Amino acid sequence: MAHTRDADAAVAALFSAHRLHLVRLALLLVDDRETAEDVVQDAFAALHRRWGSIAEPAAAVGYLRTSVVNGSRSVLRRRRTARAYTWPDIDRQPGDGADAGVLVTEEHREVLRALRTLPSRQREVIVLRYWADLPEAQISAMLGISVGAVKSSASRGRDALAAILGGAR
Amino acid sequence: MTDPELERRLGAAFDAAARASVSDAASPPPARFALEPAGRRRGRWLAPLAAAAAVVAVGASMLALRGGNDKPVPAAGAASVRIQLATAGNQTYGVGMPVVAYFSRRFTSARTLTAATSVTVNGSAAQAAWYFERSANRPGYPVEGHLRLDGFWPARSRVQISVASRDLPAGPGLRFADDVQLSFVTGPAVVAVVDDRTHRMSVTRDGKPIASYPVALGADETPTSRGIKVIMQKDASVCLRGPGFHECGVKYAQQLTYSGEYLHAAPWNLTNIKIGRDTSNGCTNLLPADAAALYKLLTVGDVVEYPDAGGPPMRLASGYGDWNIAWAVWQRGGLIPTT
Repeated sequence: MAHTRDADAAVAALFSAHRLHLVRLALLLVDDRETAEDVVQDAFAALHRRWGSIAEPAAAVGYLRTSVVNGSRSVLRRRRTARAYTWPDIDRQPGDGADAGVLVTEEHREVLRALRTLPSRQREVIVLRYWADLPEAQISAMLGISVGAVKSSASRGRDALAAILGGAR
Repeated sequence: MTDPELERRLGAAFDAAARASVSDAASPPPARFALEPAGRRRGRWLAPLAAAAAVVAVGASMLALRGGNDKPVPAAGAASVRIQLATAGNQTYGVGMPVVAYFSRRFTSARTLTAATSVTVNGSAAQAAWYFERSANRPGYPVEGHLRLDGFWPARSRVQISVASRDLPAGPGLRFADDVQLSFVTGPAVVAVVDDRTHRMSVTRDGKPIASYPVALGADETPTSRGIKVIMQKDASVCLRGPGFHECGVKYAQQLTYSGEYLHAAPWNLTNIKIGRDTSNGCTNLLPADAAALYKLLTVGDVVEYPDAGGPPMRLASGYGDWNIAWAVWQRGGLIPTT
């Protein structure tokens, strides 16, 4: 089955190139590493199943990113009744390893705690805009909402965050 | 708070949280995507497909892994210590390139590992030694080991490394689960020295001076670390982010530490580079044309020395900090005794 072998190699290459970024994206949208890894694995599994209908790698990356955002939202929805959104990882200090450049400071935690209080649509837009650096048009296509809705979600999310964080400055 | 300021805080906080939770150096887990039934988590996957996928993933991420994660370790009653080689094989490296491996648990003796390690340079046996430190560079692998000779590798040579450690004891109740094989060649001996007093970088190749450039190093609050570093990675363009800064499209970036010290072009900082004022976040700022020339000149594994920079001393696992440890100390093995 030539198609299967092509899909394996192509998806494996994408997995290697984009997994890390996608896990981090998922981690900002859900609340723990394990769930984030699962969401990303599911996105790759779905891509593998649909490989035949995806024309080029550039499109595949967008497909993966959209799958991760949608997958993260489904996880949160499924869980909403069970427990609130928490972020265990941000309170954990890295050990005495060398990676001092990624120390999560109190200021970072404050921003992340504020992010948690946003409705999920605003949180998605804020993360995609200011962490993933995606243009508004692309976020609009990914989330299936208009560019205007992206702008207004970003603006409302920013205002809410500024209101929470501004007081501390 | 202005919008740009808020956006900068958001970007820095998100990035710090994401990077602290999922390290850059993390090795990919086995790919589980292949033909995994929808909705089933951590289920069975078709081993041959996933193994093929894992090989591609591992190769592309510069890991040379032997004895993949999916091979069963013979049950022997001893807990297994997995070994992951982080140095890619069949490359041309600078003479300062260490061989880096990660170990899946804190083991207690490296005597058998040392005995099982053979290193040849151009076919002749060479005396190499392992040195270990605790490390947070790769999740699930708390120990980092580096293998090197007394001095830099001989220039323009073929290096072959074989570690037949599989099933050997790693201390009471422990055994190694993997062998390691690696071969690479070295290029010319290229060494750059950065003088923080004259604010110049001088480059020699095989002992002869070939270039000299003005530089600006880290500001007093964010000083450049001191000691001998090695080029770890080269990127024609990167995003550099950290508390209070976020620059994308930074050109001719050559990485020196995991924390993010780079050599790079700093077109926004021309005056300070020319007059020699240290203003960076720890990076070595170069004039754009110099950074481009240096990018062509240096290879992964080339040596960059900072004998008088103002920051903390370079440690082994800060990057490729190997050459800051005296050979007599190195031979004892550091965290885990080798003799």
